[in-house]
Amino acid sequence: MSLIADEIIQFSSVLRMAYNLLTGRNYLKRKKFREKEKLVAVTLPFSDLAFAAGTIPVFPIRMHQFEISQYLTYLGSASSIFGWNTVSNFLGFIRNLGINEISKIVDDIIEDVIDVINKKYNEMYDIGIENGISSDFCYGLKSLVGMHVTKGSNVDACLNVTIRCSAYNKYLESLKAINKGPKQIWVDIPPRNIGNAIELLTNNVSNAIKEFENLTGKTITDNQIRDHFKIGNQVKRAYKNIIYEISASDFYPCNPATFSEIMALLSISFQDYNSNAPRYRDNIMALEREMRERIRKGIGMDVADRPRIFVTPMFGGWEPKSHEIIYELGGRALYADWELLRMLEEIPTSSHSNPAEEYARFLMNATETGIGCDNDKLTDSYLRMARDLNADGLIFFQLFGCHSISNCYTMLREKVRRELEIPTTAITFNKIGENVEQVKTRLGAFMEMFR
Amino acid sequence: MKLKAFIGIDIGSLATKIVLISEGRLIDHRTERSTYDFKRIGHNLFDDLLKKNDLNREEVFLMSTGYGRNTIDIADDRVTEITAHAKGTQFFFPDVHSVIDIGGQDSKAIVISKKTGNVVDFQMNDKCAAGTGRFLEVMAHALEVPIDQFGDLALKSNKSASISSTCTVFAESEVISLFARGASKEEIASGIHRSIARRVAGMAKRIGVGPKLVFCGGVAKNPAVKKYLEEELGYEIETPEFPQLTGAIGAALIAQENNTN
Amino acid sequence: MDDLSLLSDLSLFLKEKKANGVKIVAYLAHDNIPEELLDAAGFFPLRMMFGGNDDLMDASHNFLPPSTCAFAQSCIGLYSTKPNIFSFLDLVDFFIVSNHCVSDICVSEIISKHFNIPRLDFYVPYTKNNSSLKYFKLELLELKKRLEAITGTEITNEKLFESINKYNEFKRVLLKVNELEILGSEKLKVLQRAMLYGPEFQPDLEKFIQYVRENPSSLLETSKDILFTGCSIFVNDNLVDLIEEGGGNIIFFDTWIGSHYSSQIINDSSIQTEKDPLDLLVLKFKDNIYGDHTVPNFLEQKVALIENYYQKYTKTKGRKLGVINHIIKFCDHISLLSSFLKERLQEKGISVLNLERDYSRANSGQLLTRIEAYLEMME
Repeated sequence: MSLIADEIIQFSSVLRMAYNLLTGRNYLKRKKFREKEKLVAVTLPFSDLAFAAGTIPVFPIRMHQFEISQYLTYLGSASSIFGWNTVSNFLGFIRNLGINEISKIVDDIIEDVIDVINKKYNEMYDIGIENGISSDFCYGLKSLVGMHVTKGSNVDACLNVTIRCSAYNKYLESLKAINKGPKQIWVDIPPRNIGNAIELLTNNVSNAIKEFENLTGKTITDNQIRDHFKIGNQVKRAYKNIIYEISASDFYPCNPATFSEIMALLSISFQDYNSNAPRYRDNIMALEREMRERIRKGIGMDVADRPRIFVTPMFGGWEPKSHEIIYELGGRALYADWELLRMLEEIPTSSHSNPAEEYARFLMNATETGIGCDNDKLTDSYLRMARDLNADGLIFFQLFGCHSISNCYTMLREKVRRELEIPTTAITFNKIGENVEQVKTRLGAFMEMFR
Repeated sequence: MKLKAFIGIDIGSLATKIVLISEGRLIDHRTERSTYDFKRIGHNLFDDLLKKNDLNREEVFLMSTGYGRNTIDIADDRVTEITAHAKGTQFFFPDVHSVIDIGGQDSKAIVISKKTGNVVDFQMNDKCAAGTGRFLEVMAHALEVPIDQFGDLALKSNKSASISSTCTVFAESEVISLFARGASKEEIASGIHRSIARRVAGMAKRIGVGPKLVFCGGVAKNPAVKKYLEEELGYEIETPEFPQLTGAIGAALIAQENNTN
Repeated sequence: MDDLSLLSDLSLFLKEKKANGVKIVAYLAHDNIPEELLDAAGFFPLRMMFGGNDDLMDASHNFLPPSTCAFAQSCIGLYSTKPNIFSFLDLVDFFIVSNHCVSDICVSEIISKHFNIPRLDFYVPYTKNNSSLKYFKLELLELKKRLEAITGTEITNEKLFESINKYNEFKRVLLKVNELEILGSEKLKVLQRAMLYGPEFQPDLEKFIQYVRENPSSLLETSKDILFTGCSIFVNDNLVDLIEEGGGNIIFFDTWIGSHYSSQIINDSSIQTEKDPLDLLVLKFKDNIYGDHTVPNFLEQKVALIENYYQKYTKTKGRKLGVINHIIKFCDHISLLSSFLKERLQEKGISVLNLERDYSRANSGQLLTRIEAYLEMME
């Protein structure tokens, strides 16, 4: 881990994002109790609508207290006085001097962020099973149920957007059985774009906005919605730039394992923008700048000889040690789930357009050309993403109990072999940390194909 | 002819247990390892029990329970091990609220009505072996430790290796890789016991078990599983004097109840 | 033996259909496929409602991971191994791919792709608000156009009204079967046969009902009454026999093969006043309170329905009633809400056995123990 820590402190934006992610509970408490804002539970990247409607979206795990060491709190306090860049530079400077105590602290930063989140995920997984969800479901759903059982009563509403996964939709239905308090706001996405489906989806989005208005007691104007979409678009642009212009390039601003670690952090935090869209926008844009600046100065690592391994899907649960293992085996892991699912598309904000309709188009596009309603479309999305990333290989995480994404693997394997002619393999996954040895063996055999 | 005694036979996948009860007291009992021939073992144990206690067939009522309850044709009646364990634990602990039974083939959690003493809810493991006595046997074999010493070995370690696999087959390979990484036998044994306790406690919590909770079945003799179950549940649990006999005792008691009114 | 004869009769029936130039459309999706539209277009709708076994589930693993719904696995197994008694599957002309559940999508997509059966798409929304109902009509229009393109014949309103009426009448008769006081296994066989054959079975159904009414059964007093809910018991599955072996008798099938299908009757006044028959199918979709595909009120409605039946039954019959919630392993819909259903019903004093299982025969011992233990609890 120290190798990663060496690198990560160079990106003060990453420190900020990690800090904001882990200390979400205090931020959210302040918003809810002092500022009387409404909290809305979101999963998957559907938070734009909640932000646009003037509420605070939260990916439920962030309502938990994370067991972080005091130093991260100190860093947070120090940053409020000196600024994150100064704190980050200071840490880097001390580390370079070789002061062991500080060195250890810096190592711990990244360990805290990744391990603490994963530990909490696993804790939620166990709680989910104890509280009603059958162990037959995927890691993601079990953990989500755990999150709602433990902290779901703190939110004022849940934004429930239906997708192709029937288990996910039924999980959304179960939320009111888990906690009676929160209002359930639904957006049903038509499965296909036929006839006037966009108009119908626009109605659904408009109705959801009305429900948000009832929740907050405030009227939401089109301009307010557009204002948020503009911020969201900036986030998505930066995220896409990092994916296409940096992760797919041959020179990284840091070592590839660190890079993947950052991408994993983005994947988690993008779901709710750490509950503060402008702050998240500033951080992700700063991250892009910091990365580009290092590349411009020639600081980083030439990764041209490292095979690009597209690792997917990760959002329902995946083994976070994968990128480190792939790095040690001479490759680099690329993560791009949200782009694959077309969740990084920008939403037009022209003053002549209807923002509810534009959001409906965004959702329909994600359904039609991202996750798809059938496996043909979904597998095409994987192929497109692998092509766009110029991937040399594809690792598919086949989640135990996932009947939506995982079931497409047979078709995907056949298409990858036929159309891309690159190596691919599936790795079964049940719970973080389970069978890491087996993952190592599988990845070892897979990476040998690139020698 | 008036019945003099009630016999309960619990034909489990790993062991067959038989008890003789008369006037509410446990008079005699036997335990033998089950083989493929459930019927023969049942007959032999039954005949032996009658002979040693100087009883005729007509003087006793035989109630069978357990995995092989339907295979023994001489039984007068049958009852499932769920109902039998619930009744049997009340013989030792009249105020029992919940039961966890870990047998060779499966594990069960049972909640008993305080008012009626009857079962109000239960849960069994699915067909997977994790969370059963079989899981412990496979793991003890992988560590080359006799099964009756396995729990004591686990308790010698003050830290537990992390065994996260829920599948017996995967867990076995996980144990091997833990060895390769230099974990001690005690740590691994402790991890295995914790894993089974976590799984069974998770299942039990789903139906709202609570104190007083009685742990029975063959695995209840294993001190490590008991200790870790207590840690997972957050309270102390009781183990009867003969934890493997509660099913057979329950069957005999039900026979007595059904035939004395 | 009953199932074997049912399948062999079905095989002959379908062969005869084919010989008369009728095309067969098969599908997995339970509630939402508009069979009236298929019928009006001159097709025969064949529901895939066949249970599985170890061999069929194993055979599916070339296509899907083992953690897929056991019913879905078995459907693929049927196509990939094609046992003799299921040779009629070769007669299928089209397969409908729908999104009733995600396993349905995957399985029907695989069957269509790997076994070269042309595919028809029919997707349904998850909610039932006004926009969703309008969307449902769009799908109906798409399917109608597709069917007309295949046959080259227009599906007239008249034809569609006729089919709607035909299925309506059939379901009215079928509804009576669930109320008959006969052995659950016998009732199930009749329900299965009727749902496979469709309205053509109506005369036999009427005769059967008449016969039972004239010859009431007296063998049911000793068994324990069960309301059966959750996943249906499909053809070739012995679960109902296991329940009877354990001492139970299913008196009401609160499942798709049972009240869920037969209750979907469009009221006569709507039929008389509605100009566009497709709107009647939309109405049927809207009024279908049993559709486990839909959100967000499925659970509440299910709890209310079971509670009503329970109260009425125990009051009028003076007998205890158990509830078995059948969960086919890895079924998204039934499994995810099962613990919540059980909790809600138990709060109302109704005990529930959540019976989770796959089609493995090796598991039947444990399955019987769970059933018997639940029946003992009812004592």
